[in-house]
Amino acid sequence: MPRRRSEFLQPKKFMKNNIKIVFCLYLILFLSLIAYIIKFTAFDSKKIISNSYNPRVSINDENIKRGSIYDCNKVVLAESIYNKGYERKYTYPEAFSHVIGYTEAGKSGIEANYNFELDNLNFEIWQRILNIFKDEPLVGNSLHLTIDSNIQNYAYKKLGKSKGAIVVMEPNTGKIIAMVSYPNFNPNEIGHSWNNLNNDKDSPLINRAAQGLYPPGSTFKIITSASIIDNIEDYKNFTYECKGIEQFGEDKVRCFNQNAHGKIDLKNALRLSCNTFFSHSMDKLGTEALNKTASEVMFNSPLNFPLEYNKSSFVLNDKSNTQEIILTAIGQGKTLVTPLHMAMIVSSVANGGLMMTPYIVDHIEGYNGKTIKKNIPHKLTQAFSPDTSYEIAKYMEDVVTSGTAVDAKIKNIRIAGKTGTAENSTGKDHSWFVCFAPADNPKVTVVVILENAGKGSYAIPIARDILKEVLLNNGG
Amino acid sequence: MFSLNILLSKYLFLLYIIFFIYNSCLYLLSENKIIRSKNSYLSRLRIIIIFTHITAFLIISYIKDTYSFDIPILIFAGVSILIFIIGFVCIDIFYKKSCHLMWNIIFFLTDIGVITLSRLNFDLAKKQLIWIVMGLICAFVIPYIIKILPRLDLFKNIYLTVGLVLLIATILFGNEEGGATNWLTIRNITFQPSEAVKLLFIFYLSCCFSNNPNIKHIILPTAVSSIFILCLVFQTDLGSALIFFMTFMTILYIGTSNIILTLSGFSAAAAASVIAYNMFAHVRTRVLIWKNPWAEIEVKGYQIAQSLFAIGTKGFFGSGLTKGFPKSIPVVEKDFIFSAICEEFGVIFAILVICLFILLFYCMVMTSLKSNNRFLTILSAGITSMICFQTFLILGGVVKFIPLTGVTLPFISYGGSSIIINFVILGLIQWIHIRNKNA
Repeated sequence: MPRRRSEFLQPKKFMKNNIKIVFCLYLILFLSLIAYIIKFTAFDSKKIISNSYNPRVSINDENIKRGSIYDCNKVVLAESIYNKGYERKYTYPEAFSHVIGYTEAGKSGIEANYNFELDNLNFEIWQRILNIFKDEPLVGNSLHLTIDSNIQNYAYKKLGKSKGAIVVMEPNTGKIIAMVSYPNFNPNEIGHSWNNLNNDKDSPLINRAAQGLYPPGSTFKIITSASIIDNIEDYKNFTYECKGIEQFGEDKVRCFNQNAHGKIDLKNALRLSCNTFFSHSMDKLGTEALNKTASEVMFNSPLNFPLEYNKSSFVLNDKSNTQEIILTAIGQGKTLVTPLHMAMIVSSVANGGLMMTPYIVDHIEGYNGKTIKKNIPHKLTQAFSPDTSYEIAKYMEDVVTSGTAVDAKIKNIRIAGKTGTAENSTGKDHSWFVCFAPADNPKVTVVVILENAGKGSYAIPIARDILKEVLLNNGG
Repeated sequence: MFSLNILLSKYLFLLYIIFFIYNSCLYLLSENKIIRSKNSYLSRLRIIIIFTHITAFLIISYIKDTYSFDIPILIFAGVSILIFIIGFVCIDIFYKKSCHLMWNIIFFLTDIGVITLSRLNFDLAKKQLIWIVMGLICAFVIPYIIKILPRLDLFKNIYLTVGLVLLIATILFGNEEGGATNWLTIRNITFQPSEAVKLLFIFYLSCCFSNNPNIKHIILPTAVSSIFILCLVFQTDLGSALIFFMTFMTILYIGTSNIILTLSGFSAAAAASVIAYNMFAHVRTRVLIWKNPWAEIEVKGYQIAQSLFAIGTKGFFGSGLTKGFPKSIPVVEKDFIFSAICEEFGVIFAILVICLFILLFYCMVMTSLKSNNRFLTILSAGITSMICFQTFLILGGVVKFIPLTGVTLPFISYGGSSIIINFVILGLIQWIHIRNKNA
């Protein structure tokens, strides 16, 4: 073969270099793929696997004794008992129906969202060996909740047969102490009543405390006030002459009973829940500022609550018309909020503006009683600046001492609160009351909403009694 | 007791694959004379494959209710391991100079595929075994055929013509399966010609680029490739289109070393994909599902969501063989077989399977680098790039790293055309390897 020919056939030097470059790039692709899979499995997958479309949630190994669920005082709330196969029994089926959920006909609540923990065998090899040789049961991990069953049962009793929800939480940790929703269901008998529950127009399966979206009514003035404090420089001298009714463009805003509050500033406007003041303040505040405050307190944002919940929604922008703007300022309009989110907002006012991630499982224990995982409080966001939150806390205290919520007073305890009467399309107004106490050293936040109860004052005694129960009778 | 065995087998499989990779790496090091050792790494690899096979089939064939074994599955297990052993013997007799590591990795991958398929759908596993036998025969025969016709670079126009004929036949007579119109049926045998066409075009491109190409010589192959890619996009076979595009770019870059050409190729592709996104609904759907499969989980996002559940629920160590629910994923035997492996063998095992693929590609690239023939260098690099990108595309798709395009996972997914073409590729690369050693 002539020399030229053979040279012609040989690969050029650059080719081999190029091959190396190309395959190094491929290697990088594969390594990033592996990194992605590790990240997905370790972190992202936790958020999706409890989805109701995952068939693994509803299929359980019948040989495993599902872990028990306890409250914060080690009171058993749910356990599996052997009776020709394991059966799930709930100690307080009605009071805990939404929080703990059900295990028949699908799953919900903690039973669904912690399904894989409850069925997970710690030291599986050892447990299986003991199971074979000593016939000991295979026991899943148990959950210890932050919920106090005394408070939960008390709140459930207080809510009675009114449609609505109650959320009790610890403002500086985000621990849920109680979460009640009515109408409810009995998880011990859900198999029989499944069809009725599904067809019930009152949707008893919905956890109103975390999934119910309500217009916030006057409770939203907490957020409007924060926005005013942050954005109107001389807000303490910002006053307005309330005549009980005011015309904005083509729309009218009325105060309760058309009471004229006279010359009024922010502090008193919040205390007396003066609608016209807040609607009027939008002139000076502008939609952008209120929008910003609303996003800071996590409207339209995920709350990282471990059970099923809905995001609250707040819609206000350049295109909003006058009617929307003036109504949004006083918590009507298109704004919708869940009682859980309201409790988080109030808690951040109590907690120097710091919003904590709400959580409901304190720790997870293995079959041998050893703690496997302990949840610790996490900051969700800085919702208000510390100064703003102190200022609003002071105003909210006035609401209880001499404002719209004097009925909430408890002897020797300083309470901060805000009422709300939310107009809605389903009938009579919803009644809100949000509060925290003691105002000088907040230990508990209570949010109560009663659907179609009429006006804000109906929710006040319920919240007051729960505060009393937590702070006085519970050694708080 | 059986549950305990499955539980232990989970860790046993992990040990097997770690030991396999460890020995493969030692073998590579001793091959390159970095470490001096006379250990028989290769026979260890074969023993691991046999052990994996036996462990897996003891679990799959066990019937818990009657405390007995399913005889047909045991027979199948015996036959399949016999085929692998015959394969080992044939390699030792006829292909002493081939790359044994490559063979072993492919046998291991194929075996993982057979195990997973037997667990998912025993009938498909039986069919798959037939494809594997046919593939192995192809792989063994190819080096002998090429010995008769060693100058593969002389048939440029034949590759082009046959490729175009197959392509036009698919467009005219193709029928739809699994959302893509790229199947041909001749006397009840359905096959996917795009697999063969891809290979033919790589041959054609390698011919074009091995002859000192200048700009003039590039125009025709570029035009042919663009037409081919467009055809694939029209047939909604986006996966094949992407794979072929990447292969073309690789060959263009390797053959010309022209950065400007390569970059302009990629920018043209970027522009084309924007146009395709706006023009074709099926392209848009793929991207939207990738962005948020949860929005339409009932219909469009269902498959990928089920795949993510399978991967994520049991996490790093998996549920144990037969203990998961991989059948909840539609077409799990083909495109989504990796998710089934993730679920039952665990994510760590699955990641190690990816490492096996990386090792396989390393062997293939080394073959390409060691070749002293320009045509064969480009050809083997092109083929390796094709199989490499295909693997990335489907793995990335099922874990939602990139938008999903339905292609098979080489050597593991069920599919006749795919298995046979992959073994043909293996035969080709092995021939080049033998040729390198003889030179």
